[in-house]
Amino acid sequence: MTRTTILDDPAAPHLPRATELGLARCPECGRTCRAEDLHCPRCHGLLVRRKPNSLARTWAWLIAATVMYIPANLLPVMHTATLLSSSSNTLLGGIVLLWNEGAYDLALIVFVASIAVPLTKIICLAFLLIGVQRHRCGNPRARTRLYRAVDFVGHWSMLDVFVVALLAALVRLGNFAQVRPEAGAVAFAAVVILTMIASMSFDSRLIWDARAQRGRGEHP
Amino acid sequence: MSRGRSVSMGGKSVTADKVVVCEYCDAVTRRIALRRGERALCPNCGSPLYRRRWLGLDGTLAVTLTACVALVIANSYPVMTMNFAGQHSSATFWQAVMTLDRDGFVEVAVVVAVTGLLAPIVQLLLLLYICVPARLGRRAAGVVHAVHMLDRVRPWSMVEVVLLSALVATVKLAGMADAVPGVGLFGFVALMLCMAVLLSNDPEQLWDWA
Repeated sequence: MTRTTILDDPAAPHLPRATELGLARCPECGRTCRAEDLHCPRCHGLLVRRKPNSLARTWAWLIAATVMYIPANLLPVMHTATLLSSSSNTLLGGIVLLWNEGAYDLALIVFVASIAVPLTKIICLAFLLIGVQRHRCGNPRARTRLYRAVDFVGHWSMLDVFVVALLAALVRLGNFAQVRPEAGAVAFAAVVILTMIASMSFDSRLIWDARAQRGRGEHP
Repeated sequence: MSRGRSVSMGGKSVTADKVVVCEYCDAVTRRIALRRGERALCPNCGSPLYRRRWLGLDGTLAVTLTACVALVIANSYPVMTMNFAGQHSSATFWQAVMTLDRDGFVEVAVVVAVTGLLAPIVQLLLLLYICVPARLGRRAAGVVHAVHMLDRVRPWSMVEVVLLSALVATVKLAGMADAVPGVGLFGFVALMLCMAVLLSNDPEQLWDWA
């Protein structure tokens, strides 16, 4: 299903980069433009070569997300109250409950989407950032693929927030039972959104820039 | 207008339109015609470059209008209903959002409302704003801004997550009560499918109609 295309220039065995050819990609509409132009001829967007201040901004969002990850897991996410008992569930507590009720596949989905994924995203983004900053970007193709995976998977962590919302609305049986979202849910939604924005701020071309700089011997 | 722009590459002149720059690694490749079911991937880093423009203006309009109908259904009818000890309760998506707000979690309510409902609405309205005048042979005012906004809104539209969460909620309640998916849920399913079709088209095609 994939097709490759190679520029028929014998002097360039590797694929040229846009900066080498005096080209630039419009960040707004994707059109190939001349690097010396200020605005894209198609959409009039500003022609910036790289996402502005990508490293600083990505680190900022990532650190904020990590800070929110702690209350998201320690504080209860949901409060269930029936006539007989009442309980507050943290994320892990809710997963254990699902598991004990026999819904193994759902417990696994919620665990992966709500605990494993945000943590993995944070670690992967930190890994990519450190790689760029230390100019050690071995296997840039794999790193680029990692970045795209992180970007793609991001929004599935919203699952838990939606579940709590739906349950809270449904189980309104007056005095019989009540489900209420708790502070942990807010912290958790914050983690998901912050990692999404962090991932959107990162410019994967920096990986290839660091690689090219290394090749030219500009950095040890 | 600016289609004949020439750029020299290693001694050979190539028009800027015939060449694509990868947004993930900055490599430059030649644009080729794609056959049915094909996508172009960057040979340097493997990232998707562009898709086939298979859905024309009429097709896009048809799917968008279907999605609008699905959206109205999805929100007019309850997403789920349940019976517990003779008590019947049901909730539409918006009722779930309002409950969150009432319980004091305005922030979560806002996030849920935006990703599950408002972002898809904005997406569909923008598409209509771009495509309907194009179909009538005219250009809407500020259509360039509309296309920009559409690109920005897209990542925040999460209808499929809403659906999976309804499934999880159903199972979670199964032990306690009779939970049954409502008509609204099927509306969301139809909406999700329409969005999938719209997304499978090359997004740059919108610029041809803008």
